[in-house]
Amino acid sequence: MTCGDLLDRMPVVAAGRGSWSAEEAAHLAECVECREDWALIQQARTLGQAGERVDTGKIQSQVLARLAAARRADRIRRGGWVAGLAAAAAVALMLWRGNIPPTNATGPATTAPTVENFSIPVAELETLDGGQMQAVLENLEAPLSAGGTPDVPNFGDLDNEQLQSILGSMEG
Amino acid sequence: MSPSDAALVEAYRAGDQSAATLLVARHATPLGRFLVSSGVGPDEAEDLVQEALFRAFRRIDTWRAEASFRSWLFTIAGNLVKDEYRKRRGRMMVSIEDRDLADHNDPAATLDAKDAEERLAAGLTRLPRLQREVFLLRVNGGVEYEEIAATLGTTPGAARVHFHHAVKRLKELVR
Repeated sequence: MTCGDLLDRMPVVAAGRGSWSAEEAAHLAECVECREDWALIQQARTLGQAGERVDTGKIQSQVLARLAAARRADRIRRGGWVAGLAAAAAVALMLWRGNIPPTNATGPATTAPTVENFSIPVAELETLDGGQMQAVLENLEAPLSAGGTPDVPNFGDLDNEQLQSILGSMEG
Repeated sequence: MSPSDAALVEAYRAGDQSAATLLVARHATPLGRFLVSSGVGPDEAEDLVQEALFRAFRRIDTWRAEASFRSWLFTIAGNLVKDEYRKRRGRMMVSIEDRDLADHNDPAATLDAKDAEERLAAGLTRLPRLQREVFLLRVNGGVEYEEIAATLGTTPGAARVHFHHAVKRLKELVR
C-alpha cells in the first residue's frame, strides 16, 4: 500500500462510509505526510458543515413554486405561438381562396448590388509605426484571464502508465 | 427501499411532481455543503441551492444518467459559483468571519482552527477550477473517480491525478 492509495481512501473514511483496515491504520500512524493529508481532508469536510443548515422544506416549496410558474409561462408562450400560427394559416387561406396576390410578390425581383474587392480600412492600425504595432501584437498575445485561476492540463489524454508516473513523481 | 435517483427523475419526467420533492430532500443538504466549501457564504448558499435545483429540473431531459444525479447537480452549482465569482470580479464571495467555526473551549485552539479554516478556504479559491471541482466532488460529495470523470469529461486516472495535485497544492497553501 502506498501513500497515494491511502489518500484515495481518505474521503470515504472521513464521510463515515468506511473505516481504516489494520494495515491502513498502521501506515497512518507512522507516516507524517499521510497524517497531514488526513488532517486536510477532515478540515475540508468541516468547512462545508455550515452548508448543511439549508432549510430543505423552504427550498422544496420555492423550487416547486418556481417550476409551476415556469410551466405556466411555457404554456402561455406555446399558446401564443399556436394562435399566431392559426392566424397565419387563416390569412394564407383567405389569400388562396380570394386569389389575392401577396403584396410583396408584385414587384420585379431586385438584386442587391455587390462590390468586388471591397475592403475595410483599419485606419488606427495603418498609422502605427513598427514599435507600436509590436506592442499591439504583444497585447493580443497576453492572457485574458487576469485575476482568474491558472489553467491546468486535463490529463485526460494520458494513459495509466503516464498518469502513474506523474503520481509517482509527486510522492517521490 | 427508497427509489433510486434515476427512477425519481423518470417519474418527474412523466409528470409526477412529488418525485421532485423527494429529489430536493435528498440533495439539498449535500449541495449546500458543496457550495459553502466552494467559497459561498452560508446565507447565500440557500439561494444558490434553490437556483441549482430549479435549473436542474428545467433541463432535466439533458441528464443522461452517465454520471450520478448528485454530481450533475454539483456541476450545475459549480457553474453558478463561477458566474457569481465572475460577477464579483474574482473577489471572495464570503467573509471568512461569517462562517460557523468549530467551537473550542481553548481560545488559542479556536484561533488556530479559525486561521487554518481561513487559509483552507482561501486556498480552495486559488486552485485551478478542475482541481477544485475534483477535490470538492471527492471530499464533500464522496464521488468515485469514475463518476467524477464522467461528470467533468475526463478519465478516472486523470481525475485521480487532479485530486492528488489538489491535496498537495492545498497543503502548501495552508502551511
